[in-house]
Amino acid sequence: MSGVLSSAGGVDALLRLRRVEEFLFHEARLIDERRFEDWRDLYTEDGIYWVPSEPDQDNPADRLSIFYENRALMDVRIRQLRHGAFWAQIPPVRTRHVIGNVVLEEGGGDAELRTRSSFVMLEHRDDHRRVFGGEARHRLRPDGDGFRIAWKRVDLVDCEGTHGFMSVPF
Amino acid sequence: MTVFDRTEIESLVEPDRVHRRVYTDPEIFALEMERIFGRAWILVGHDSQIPQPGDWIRTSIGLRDVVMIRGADGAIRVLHNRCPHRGMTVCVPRAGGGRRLVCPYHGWAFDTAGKLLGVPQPGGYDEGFDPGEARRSMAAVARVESCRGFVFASLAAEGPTLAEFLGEISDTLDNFCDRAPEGEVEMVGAPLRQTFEGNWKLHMENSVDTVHPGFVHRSSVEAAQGFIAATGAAETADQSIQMFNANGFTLNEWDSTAIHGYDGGHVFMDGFYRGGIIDPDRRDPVFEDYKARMAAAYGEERMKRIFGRETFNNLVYPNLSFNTRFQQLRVIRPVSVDRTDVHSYVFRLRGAPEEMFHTAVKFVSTANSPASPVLADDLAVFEQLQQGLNSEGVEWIDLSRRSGREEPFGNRGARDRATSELPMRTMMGAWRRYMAAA
Repeated sequence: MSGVLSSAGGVDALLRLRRVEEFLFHEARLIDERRFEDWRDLYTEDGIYWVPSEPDQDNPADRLSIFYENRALMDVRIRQLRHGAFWAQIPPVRTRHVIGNVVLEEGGGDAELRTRSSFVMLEHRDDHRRVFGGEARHRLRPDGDGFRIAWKRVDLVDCEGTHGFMSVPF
Repeated sequence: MTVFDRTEIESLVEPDRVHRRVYTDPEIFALEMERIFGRAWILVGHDSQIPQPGDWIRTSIGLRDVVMIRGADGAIRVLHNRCPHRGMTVCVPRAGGGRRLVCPYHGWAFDTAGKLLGVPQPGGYDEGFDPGEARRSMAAVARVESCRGFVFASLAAEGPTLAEFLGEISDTLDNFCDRAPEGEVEMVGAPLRQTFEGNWKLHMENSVDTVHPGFVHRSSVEAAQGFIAATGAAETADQSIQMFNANGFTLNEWDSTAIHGYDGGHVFMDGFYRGGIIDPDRRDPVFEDYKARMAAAYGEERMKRIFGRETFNNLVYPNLSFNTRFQQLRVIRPVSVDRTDVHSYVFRLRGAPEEMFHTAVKFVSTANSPASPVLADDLAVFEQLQQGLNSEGVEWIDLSRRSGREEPFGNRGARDRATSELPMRTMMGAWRRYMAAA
């Protein structure tokens, strides 16, 4: 058994974990509330959002990806989400995330916190309901009272499966 | 199944219009699986997917589940993925390898050519049971042929050879491979897999429809233009943003390029990417290195001819689409009359700088991910298009744009300005011939 309660500095570690959890809940809420610009601004200037197409994919450059976006591509995606003629979003999707199993990982040093969490995202659009789920990994840089996302990787449980079109981040 | 007479089938496709049943009738779909996918040469894979003897992948020909396997003798065969005993799927994972194929149900074992090696407890069969009999083997698909490593199979025992079937479109498959300094390409990794609730022909037609980008892709074009205006030059933008922006071609600009159709139903369109890293004559150290390797392999003259054949989407009828400049290949897999899967693959040019491959990976992800800002709009439109076609009352769709204005091209083809509906008429002509042949 490992975890914050069994580690040294129990209460401090618990508070730190709670701060991370609240940040991840906040990030998910920004997507669910379609506050995409605020979501993008959680990322560092060199931030990356990545959804691989293969399990255990270790490199975005030499394998196909579902999403692999820097700030510029996030910006274009958001401009499209705000566009009146984005056919894949007429009507727009409605989403709701559930985030759980949040753990802090070793590594990253003082400059970066590394987390793993599980998520389920329920999506509704035009009489179609879909469920996405998997594991998210974040690299978070402390920023004032909160964090900024330097890197986020989402491993969908069915990443190599067959998918219909999708437009909003997980 | 309904028996269609020839006149009824032929009446569905007129020179400039097509009846909506061609896209919506499940019985027509069943007949397509028999008369088009049951007879044409269908791409089943690439030889680089099965480098070692015994390697195999699961793949398909229409609705048939088949296995492409490299035999102990090195030859590539295509077998129906069915045990001759009780019909079980023999190869269950997407890929595998070994000296034998063993049916998971009752343990019948086959060699890499599909021949039965033995059954458990053979005493349970009479003495006349002969494992060597053809009916005891995994059935082989009638014909298998390769072109530059691309493996095609035909369920029909007789018919045109692969070379006859491809005709002049084989030039573009050659060009796909000639762009590698070593003259060979290698399929890498797993494909992206998309699905949409629409007929398979909608995807084929759309990929050579140059009028739709200005309308369907307006949101991604204007999003890219907005970003470029806010931040700087298109030439230095991210490759994906350059790709979104390129769809902003005006109809006059499209008409400065050409589109081509061959009698067999095959189609190709000219390239239209200009500027930045997507330009055919891009100027950066990676491309200079690549050009130097190409010149060393082929000589300057031949290299210029290879690069001079600058196409975008190339279609091999009925369900193959590829892009030679970015090593992309898509297989359109019909599932039912209103459901289609698409598998999109990327290839490495053997002998080219690895960064050329990275550009191809980025191209294929940008154009084919289910989350692609371009593709999402195409798929959304296909689904609404299918719903429109399903709705009775307006029975015909129109394909008359620039009809009769094409000029002859090659030995058995035609060409016109790119906004022509020539590609749709070309494919529908092939459809009518396949479907009307008893």
